Amino acid sequence: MRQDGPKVGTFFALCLLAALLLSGCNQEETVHKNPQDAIRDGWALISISDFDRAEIAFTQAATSSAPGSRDALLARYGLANAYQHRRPAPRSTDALKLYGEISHEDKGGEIGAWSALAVARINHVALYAVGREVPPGSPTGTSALPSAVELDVIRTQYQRVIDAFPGTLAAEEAAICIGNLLIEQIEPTRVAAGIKFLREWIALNAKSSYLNNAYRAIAVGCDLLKDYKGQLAALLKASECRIDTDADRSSEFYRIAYVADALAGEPDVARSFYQRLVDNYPTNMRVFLCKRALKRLPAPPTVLLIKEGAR
Amino acid sequence: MKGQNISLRQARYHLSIYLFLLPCALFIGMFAYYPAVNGIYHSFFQWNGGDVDRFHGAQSYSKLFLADTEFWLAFKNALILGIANIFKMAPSIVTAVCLHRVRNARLQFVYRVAFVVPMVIPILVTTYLWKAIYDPSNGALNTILQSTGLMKALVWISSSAAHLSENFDPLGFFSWLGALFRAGENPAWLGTPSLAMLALILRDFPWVGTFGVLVYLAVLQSIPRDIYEAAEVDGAGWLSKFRYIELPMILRQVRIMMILVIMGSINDAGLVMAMFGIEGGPGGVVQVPALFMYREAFQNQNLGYACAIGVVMFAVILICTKLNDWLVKPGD
Amino acid sequence: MKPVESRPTGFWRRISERFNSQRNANGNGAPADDGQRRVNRIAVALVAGTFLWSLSHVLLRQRIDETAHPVLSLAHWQLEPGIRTGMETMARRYNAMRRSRGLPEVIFKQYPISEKAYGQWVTTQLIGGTAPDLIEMGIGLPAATWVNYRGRYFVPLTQEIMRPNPYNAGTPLENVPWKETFLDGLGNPISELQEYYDIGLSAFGQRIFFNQALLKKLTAKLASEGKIPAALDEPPGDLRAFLKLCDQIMELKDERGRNYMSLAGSKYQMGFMVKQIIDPLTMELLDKVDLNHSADASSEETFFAARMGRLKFSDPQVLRIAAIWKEIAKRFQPGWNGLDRNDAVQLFVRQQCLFFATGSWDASTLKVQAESSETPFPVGIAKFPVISPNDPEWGEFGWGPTYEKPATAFPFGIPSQSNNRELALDFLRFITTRENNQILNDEIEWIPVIKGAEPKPLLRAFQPTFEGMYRGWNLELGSRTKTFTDQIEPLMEIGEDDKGRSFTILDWAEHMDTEWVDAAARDFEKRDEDERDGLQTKNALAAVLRAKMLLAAPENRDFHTRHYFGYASVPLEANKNIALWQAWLRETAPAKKGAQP
Repeated sequence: MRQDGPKVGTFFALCLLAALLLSGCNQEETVHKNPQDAIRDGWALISISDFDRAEIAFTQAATSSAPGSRDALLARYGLANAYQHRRPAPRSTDALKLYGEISHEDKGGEIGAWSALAVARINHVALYAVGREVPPGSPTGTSALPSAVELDVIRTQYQRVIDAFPGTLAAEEAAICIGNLLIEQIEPTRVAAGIKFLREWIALNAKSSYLNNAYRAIAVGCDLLKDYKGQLAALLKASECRIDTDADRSSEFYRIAYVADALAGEPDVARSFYQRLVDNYPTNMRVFLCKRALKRLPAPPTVLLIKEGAR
Repeated sequence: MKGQNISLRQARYHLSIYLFLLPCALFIGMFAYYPAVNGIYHSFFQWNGGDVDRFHGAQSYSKLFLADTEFWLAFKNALILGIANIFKMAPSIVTAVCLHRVRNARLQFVYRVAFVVPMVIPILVTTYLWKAIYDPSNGALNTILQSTGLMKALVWISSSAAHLSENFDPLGFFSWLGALFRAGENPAWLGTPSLAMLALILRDFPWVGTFGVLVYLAVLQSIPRDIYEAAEVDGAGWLSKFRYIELPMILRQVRIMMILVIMGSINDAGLVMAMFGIEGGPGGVVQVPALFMYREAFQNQNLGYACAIGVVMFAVILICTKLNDWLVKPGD
Repeated sequence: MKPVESRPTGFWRRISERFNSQRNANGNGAPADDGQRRVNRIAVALVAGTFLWSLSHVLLRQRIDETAHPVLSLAHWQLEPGIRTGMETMARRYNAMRRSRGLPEVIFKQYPISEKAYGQWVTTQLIGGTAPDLIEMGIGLPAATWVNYRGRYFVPLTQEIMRPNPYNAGTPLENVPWKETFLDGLGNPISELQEYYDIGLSAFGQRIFFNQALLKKLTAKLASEGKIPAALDEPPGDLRAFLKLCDQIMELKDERGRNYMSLAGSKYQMGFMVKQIIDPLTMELLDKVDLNHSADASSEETFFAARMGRLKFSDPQVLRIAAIWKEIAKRFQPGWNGLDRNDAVQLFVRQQCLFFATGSWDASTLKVQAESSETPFPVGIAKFPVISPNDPEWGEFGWGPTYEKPATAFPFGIPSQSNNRELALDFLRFITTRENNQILNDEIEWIPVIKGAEPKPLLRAFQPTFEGMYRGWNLELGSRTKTFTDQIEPLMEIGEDDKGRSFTILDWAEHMDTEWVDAAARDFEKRDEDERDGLQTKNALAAVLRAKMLLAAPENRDFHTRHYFGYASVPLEANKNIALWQAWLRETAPAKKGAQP
């Protein structure tokens, strides 16, 4: 049979041609001019779940910034976040290690504080992961919740953030996390402990940006304990302390009005918030219920009318 | 030409053949085999197609076999459709034999073209045509039944079955038949739960599948004329010629078509979805396994579970194919 | 056959020989004849020529010189009459404004792409870097993909919409944030990204369309028979009267002896009737279902309420609602359940049905089809009938009309790769003033989306009702419950099962109390898993917003701080939701067989 040697050469020539034509298809890697741009880009890439390129951007930022500088810390913090939030497989070990290094290097500093908080958050979230073994005897269809012992360990990690990084935003957030951690256990003594903790914290941090979050958590706790007056008071304080006042607050107003009306027995407060909802959100679906409630509620006594006018 | 075994050293002289096959093999590997292997791989994962990809062993399979009765009920529907589809192969065989027996070559050509032309119409288009035929108010089927008086006959059959079911109805068949047609009402073929499966089976009447006709005809036309002449000399009639000459010749093709029919009954979701919607008709009466799989994948975002369903469907088709091979033996 | 005499030399000659040779059984080549050689060369030339043209087209493509006249391109899937001309009108008005300010005119290019191909087209353009400056969002791709695309390819407009629209100067909306000039305040941000990306140009609503001439004719006949007091120009607003009229219509026959059908129905139309008439009747159930006092019944709350026994489908009130539901289904034409929207449209356009429920997006199409049908007829639009509080049987549900959320639609986003981002944003601001939005929607025959803008007379009936009833339950927790309700509801609506046996409202309630709850439990398992997996996503988003706050320039710090704290509670409270749900599940777990109370 005739040998086919020359055809092999033709084949490889065609492959080379194809390779040349396709070689232009590669995506160019962005080279950033300065570490700040790289860091911003990295966070933008995390927000769109492009973790590979985010890691590259943060690594570029880290190598191009001066060692020990704020940019270097921010770059490494960003990199740790890229490891932590990567999906489907987070690099939790790498993230924990890097966060640990940053919190150790930036003692008392802002980035160090957020890093320490991130360590506690990783461990906290891990306790709610899918697939954890359900305790024997649990009803069918239920899934696992962390035990009180496991959550106490997390609590100490949050407390460490407060102790090591006092005065930082991260420390404030850590306190809110402790309060929520206690309340999410649903068990009454724990919930009461959570409420107490948050109230004490509020007393010491009257100007914190997290007051709204603290009062919201207290409101949830009071609801669980069926302390509706406490719940109402907390909801009212949370409403006063809200920072994002331009957001849609219709459900917030309605919840306050409903609790005041149906649970806490405070018709004046109820009326006030039903009316606020109607005035501020005239096209909201709850307007119908609010107007029905306003018709139903007893008219306020004259004394209270004067008080409202004074506001 | 028979195949030859050659040594590896000899193969280098034919290297170009293998190299030229390589791109094609790569494409098939990439677009056919890789997705299949990937599907089997992901059947052991909890996978939503995006950011959740968690290994959980055979949980999907145990859930499917132990907890998901809906899937197995869908197989019941597939079985009914499969059996019906097998019976629906008969008209194709008869048509091919009739075409083959046409003595006038020109006339045979005309008939052949007439049967082949509908093949160019996509299946989805014919499905929508049948939807229009089944329209209860303006559809051709109800119009024909009413105008020919057949509807009265169907109503009579139904009412008789209803009476019979009061005294004797061990399988519920007579009560089902009794509810199908009512006086003064146009049957809603696609909208009535009791009629939906019947509508699906009756689709494409008279079931002369063009592809099948062509396949059988090609084989029949390879039968030499002298065999027929010899049979006529022996006094063989119409049926004997079919039974002893033609049927054994096309049995291999019948077996292949049966495999395709079984696969189609289990694998087909598109046509049921086009006719009845993603829920599988009123009450889910025509839900089929592939539709169930489609819903799990694209409505429930449970792609890992859908992959497991696909693997099970593949296994069922394989078993059916083997059974088919064992039961239907081709003639030599 | 002659063997090949010599080995071909040269690469191209070898290629040529390959095309021209035929192989015999021994593998030797034989030259082809002249005719075949000519054909082969033409084929090679064609392929090579096409490839070279395509290559040069891609490599040499240039943008039009935009220094003299900027070019603004926009893509949408609206092929209906009026959309293109409406946008052209807006383009003319925009250029007139620019001329008056001494600015160069803009060249507008519209790319109307069909729905079926839209998703793929947008994907290709975004990935290829050739996306137009404005892209209509939301169709042709799964919702999650659109979310991903927004984050990856589009400009967030959150800061822009918080500022007033400069084109509202001199109007009552002058100092109102651009966001608040829309009927729905542009809704909520994309929850996964906590940013706004789309600006909508129209609103949609749903109504009952009717054949005005046929209604007049048939009701005149009924009036002459003394069945109704007088002929009607529009359908009754009371549900009982409406259904009675439907019955009376169905008894009348046309010239061909066929009975008229009152409601043109399909699964699509039934969806509207349920949403507009039946769902609001469940509002009283909110007290039982709304566990977190938000006045909004979520699917999880509905599930838990059913598990707790607070919500029972066999409850007399629910059964009465189901009875009204069934009454409506009886007035659809026979076999409606097996039909699609287009089948129902045909019945209406062929004047076999009197009423047809659909959305405002169909208004202009129906009008055109009605005018161009064999016997043209005028189309009227009416609100869905409601129950009167004085109704002897259903009066308990007569609380008022149905609430209609003023939802912005026909949304456009700006790709980050656009070279004319500012121009695109400016154009969007221009066409969302009250005056321009009204003119645009007059042309398209859709509903304006800016507060104070009035729709055309034909569409006045679409003015949304902002004070009304809405649903008190949500039965779709996931795929299983959706499939279950999609399968079981038709049986109740038609009144029979697959064996032809009667399927009553009580049967429906029994199935819902048992099988729906089971299906919901299975969906809830998935929801619980999604919620747990979602903790990671929520924390990631909080981290991104926090980073924006930390890295923000001083002039933007306030905005990003408010943005961060507006979202911060979400991940902080997420664990609590999971824990609460599990606590409810344990409380309401069915008792094991044989267990002592």
